[in-house]
Amino acid sequence: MRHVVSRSNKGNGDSRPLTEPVLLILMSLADRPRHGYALLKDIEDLSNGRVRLSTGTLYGALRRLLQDLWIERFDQEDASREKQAYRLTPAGRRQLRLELERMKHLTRTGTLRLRTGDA
Amino acid sequence: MRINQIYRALLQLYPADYRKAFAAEMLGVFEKAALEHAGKRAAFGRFATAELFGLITGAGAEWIARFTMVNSIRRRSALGICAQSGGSAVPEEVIQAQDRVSSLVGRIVHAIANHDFPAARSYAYEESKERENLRLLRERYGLEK
Repeated sequence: MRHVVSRSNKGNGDSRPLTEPVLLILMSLADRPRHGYALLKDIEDLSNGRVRLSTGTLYGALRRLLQDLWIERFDQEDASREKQAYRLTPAGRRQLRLELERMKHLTRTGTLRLRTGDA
Repeated sequence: MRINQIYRALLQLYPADYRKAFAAEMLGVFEKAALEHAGKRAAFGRFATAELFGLITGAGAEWIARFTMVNSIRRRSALGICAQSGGSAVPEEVIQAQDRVSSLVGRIVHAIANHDFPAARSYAYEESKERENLRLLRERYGLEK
């Protein structure tokens, strides 16, 4: 599974839509670093319980995000069993911003068309 | 618990470097999540099915990625992720440079696959600059080619 689901019209590799699990992972890491389990729980909350990632899906996506340098892994000094935490890199933050902008644009356009249709 | 043993066994389906980087962590997360569903038979059944299915498809996806990834990404992937978990003596600066090169190679491959040749050319130009930077770094740290 790649992060992106289709090609953008301008061919810029950084502006393609993200898959939902990847978008939710990036959103979850936007405010602070998280461990794997905290990511699972937060993603469930973010999606109002609609998305519950399996560990296989979560770590597959994390591996690819690490590979593309959108997130990084670091050792956290705390008493919990999970020592490894993940955080967004500047590149990941930029991708998330781009995606949210793209969605905002779509929402605006869709709402406008609905209004036109209703009128 | 039996489900943990099945989970451990299915983790063996993943490539070795992936297991080294993530298996212990995945098992820890799975055990925590399993505890949450303990005692609720139907919910646990759904959870276990989703987890085991996710592991099988995840392992399949990793092997497919392994065979379709270009060699440089494959090398970097193993090295970079192990290094991030503290398993390598390669300087961080070199790993980051390798990461940038590999990421750009991936973008070139993706752009070519999508017949987006202007983007591929632009990534190729960036990649050649990064590769030169990597060469200089490896020279500086006395790392073999």
